[in-house]
Amino acid sequence: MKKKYSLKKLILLFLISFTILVPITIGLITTYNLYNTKMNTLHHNQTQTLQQVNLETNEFLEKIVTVSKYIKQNYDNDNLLLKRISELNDNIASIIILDKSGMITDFYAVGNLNLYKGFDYSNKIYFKEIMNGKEFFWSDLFFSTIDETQSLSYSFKLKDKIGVIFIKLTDISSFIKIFKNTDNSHMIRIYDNNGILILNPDETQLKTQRVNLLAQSVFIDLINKVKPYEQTTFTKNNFKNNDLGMYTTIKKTGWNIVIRECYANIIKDLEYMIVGIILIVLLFITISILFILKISKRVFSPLDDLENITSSIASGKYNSKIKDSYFDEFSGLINSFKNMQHEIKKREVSLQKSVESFESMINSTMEAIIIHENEICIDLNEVAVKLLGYNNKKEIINKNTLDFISKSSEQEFKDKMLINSDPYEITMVKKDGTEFEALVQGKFIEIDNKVAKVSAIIDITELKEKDKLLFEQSKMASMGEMIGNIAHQWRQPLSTISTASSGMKFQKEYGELSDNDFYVSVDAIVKSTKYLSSTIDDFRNFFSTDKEMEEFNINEAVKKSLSLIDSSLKSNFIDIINEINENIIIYGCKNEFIQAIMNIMTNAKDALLVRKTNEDCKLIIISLKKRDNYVLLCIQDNAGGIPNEVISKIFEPYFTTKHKSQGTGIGLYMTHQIITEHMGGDIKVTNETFEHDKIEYKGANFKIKFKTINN
Amino acid sequence: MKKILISSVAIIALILFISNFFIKPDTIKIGLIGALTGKYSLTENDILNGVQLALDTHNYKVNNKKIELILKDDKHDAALNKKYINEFIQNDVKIIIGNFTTSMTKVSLPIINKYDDMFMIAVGSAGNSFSAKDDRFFRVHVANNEQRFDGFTQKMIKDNYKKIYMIYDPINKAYTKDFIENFEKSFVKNGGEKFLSHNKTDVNLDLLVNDIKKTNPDLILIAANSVDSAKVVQYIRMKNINTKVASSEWAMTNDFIINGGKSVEGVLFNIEYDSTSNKKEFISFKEKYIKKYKTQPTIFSSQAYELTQIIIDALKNSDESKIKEQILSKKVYQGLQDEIIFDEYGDVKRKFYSYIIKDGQYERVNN
Repeated sequence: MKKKYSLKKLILLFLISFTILVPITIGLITTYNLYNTKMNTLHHNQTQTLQQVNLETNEFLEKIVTVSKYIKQNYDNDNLLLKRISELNDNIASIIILDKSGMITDFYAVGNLNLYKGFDYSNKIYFKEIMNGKEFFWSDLFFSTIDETQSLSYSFKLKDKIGVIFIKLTDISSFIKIFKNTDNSHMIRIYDNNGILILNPDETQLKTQRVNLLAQSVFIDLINKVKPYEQTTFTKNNFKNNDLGMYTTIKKTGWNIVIRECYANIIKDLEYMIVGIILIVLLFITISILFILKISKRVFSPLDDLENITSSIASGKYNSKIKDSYFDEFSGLINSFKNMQHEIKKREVSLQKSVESFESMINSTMEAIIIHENEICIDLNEVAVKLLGYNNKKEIINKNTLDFISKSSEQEFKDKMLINSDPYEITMVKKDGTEFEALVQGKFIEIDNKVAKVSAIIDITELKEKDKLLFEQSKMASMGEMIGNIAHQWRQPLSTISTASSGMKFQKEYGELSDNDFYVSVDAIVKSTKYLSSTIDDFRNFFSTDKEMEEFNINEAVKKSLSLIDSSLKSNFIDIINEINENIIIYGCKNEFIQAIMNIMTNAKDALLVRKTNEDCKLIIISLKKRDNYVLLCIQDNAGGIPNEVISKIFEPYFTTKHKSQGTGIGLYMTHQIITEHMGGDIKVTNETFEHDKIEYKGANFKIKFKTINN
Repeated sequence: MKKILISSVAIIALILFISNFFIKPDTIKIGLIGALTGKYSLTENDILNGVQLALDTHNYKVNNKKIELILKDDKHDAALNKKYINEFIQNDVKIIIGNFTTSMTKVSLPIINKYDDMFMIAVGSAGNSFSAKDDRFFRVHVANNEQRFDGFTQKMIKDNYKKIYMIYDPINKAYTKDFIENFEKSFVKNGGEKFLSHNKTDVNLDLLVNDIKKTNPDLILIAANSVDSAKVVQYIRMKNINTKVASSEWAMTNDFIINGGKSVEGVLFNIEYDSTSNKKEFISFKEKYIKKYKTQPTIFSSQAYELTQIIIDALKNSDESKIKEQILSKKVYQGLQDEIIFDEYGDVKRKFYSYIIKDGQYERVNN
């Protein structure tokens, strides 16, 4: 099943998501741009500063080298040279002169604590390096016993001696002190080759603790990892506070100058702006969400009302009231809905009336009506309740309709269940088991999206009984007709017998009865009695109640009919023209067919006898036409035709134009019943004009149509 | 429902991500106090190197907590030392490495002993006054008791040094007083004479030279830092006094040889440290030390390394405020060379070795 979403939730979700995401995205982009701008500015500033410090440091070191050159040139001639240089130069703490064995031969120290001429400094690195062949040597930071503080030295060859200048980083220290970060910490640090801090303006002039920082992040993550002037972050004091910075290396000494700024402070500058942005974003989001919720409430409230009202209407409550909306669009919608509600209410009333009318109609019909779904009865009218012999509907509803059908009709009923059927006859069963004949017609209808079938039932028991009675009456009428016919048939032979026997009596009385005459008379009597006998056989067959369905030759049956009424027709001077010369087989009850043909011809005879035409000739023409799959038997007379006002009624029972002493009105009705109902054929009558022996006649033409079963 | 779940997870993840920037990791603060500048710093610098190397091996972490090493340079000044100790306490530092000198420890300890969750452990501070006291102070250095000098004084006697001229550092008198008293007791006990003289390193060196020449000792014994010791030895050698010199372990740093030059050749030491040890732990330590600091380790850097490992071990098994109790419950630790066994008062006993400076190197002498 396809998943259903709440429109309200979707719209709210979309609006709130949009309201949150857009300002957050803008906030993030703004923050990112601010951060980038800050970082780019910082990178530029640090690079410029670091280059400046590097330049300054190199100039500083170059000054020391210049001093050493001056000493080289002037030391021999000036005993006070060391003193003057040291006192005039703030960056020189002391100068010592060592001989080749490392003994101090001369020195000047601004603050001397432990220095004596004759002390052996041969284990000092600044001595060893020069003795190992170097022209000059820049030391790393070491603890100087001269003034008992950390110091740097520049040693150089001085002819056969070695000069050592102990350096104070006064100038360079003052210079780098001017570079401060926003948190007032200094930007610059200088480290020697051993990872010891030479200069840290945040502490003292010389960082005297000589802490080895090779294992610290400043070396691991910065100096030993990235290229000079490449900015990166590194941890200060192992992990506490990240610094962002870069470094460069002084070529002369191998020392590293690091410029740094506390990352937290960089971010702190941004933090105020970011916090401001976040607050604005949050404020915007909060106001927007409140606004959206407020608007949503107003927008969705009428929709909710409409939904509730719709639910109420769906559950049959039509009087629920809808509140008006603030919005024109919704007001229009609500008005429309109110109109719709009103219309629905009206229609509901109308529908209710229709239902009531329908129920009244169903209950007022003569037909029993049963509505059933898949054979199960779901509703029925009162007529059906009575017809089936029950007391009320409840007894029947949910019962299987087959319970009301006789076993003999079950299959037919089942077959008809599947289609919209024309009326058909079946035998049904009442509650008490009584069977009755019923005419049923079933049609499919749709109720509550289900297909049900409405079956209309008429009890035709009485009709059937009536038909039977009519048939009997017809038979009796036919018998009357037959007796007339017999009388006609018998009149001639009886006359012959009477004449022959009277003749023989006279001839005997007068003695004139010859043997020959006797035999002739007796033969005539015997022949007549045989004829009478055969006539009796014929009539016996006619009156037989045998209704066996069989195949029979239509030609023979017509001839049989003619033979039965032949005398009657001839005595009335009616000419029978039988044009049938084909033997065509049809299926049906032969005796009933003969009776039907006789009824038509009797009717024609009666019409011919009372006709008002002037023709002398009375004709009944019988013809048989064969078509592709049926045969057409036509019985036509020249009695002038049936009046138009009655022609449509002549097959109705008890309809007759004759005097009651002559007609019963049953003959043609039975003929119609036999042809259509019993034999499945069709019979129609029309008035036609026709020519016979070049004379035009007018009369009725009965056309009987049967399906053929062979060629 | 699914959408709500995904949104919730995303929001929680975002909150956790953001909060990550504001939540600081757990940190264990270890304070290190000493004279990091000035002439005392030559020893303290060795200690600092040893501590840093040990922390390097643990990447400054224990039990997923970071270790912050806070350095305080008291410049061997009592007032400054007191100030920094109080700062440690205020900053919730529970573990303090230091002080090196007995004088400064005497300033620190009365403050620290007021707090049951504080713990101080030192390399040095060999003053005997801290021995056999149930306080908050431990040390990995052997105290200056009489027995501690017996081996060395017996050798002195055996080598026929019976008259000793004593020179000491007056600034760290808390240490030097103990050193002189217990050394003298042991020396006398083992057949020596009472010291000929007790002189200070800060006197006029010419007067000192004259006094030495006048008393004519068999041995000059110095208990001072390496700078003062080297200066004294340089000066007396420069003045042609060739009397044998022995020194307390305090001066036994690399700087002593650098500052002393050839003058310090032949100076004797007796310390609880074997620079020639073949123990794999010591060899490994020595290699790492030289690689990092480009110089030989000393007794102080070695003991500082051991001390830091002991702290780390204790932190692995207890809270930082229960370090003393944890060490006392274990008592025996594997040192770089020998086992370190703490007594109930946090003092240790260790084996002593004798050294002589030869060709600019400390060379071990078989007793």
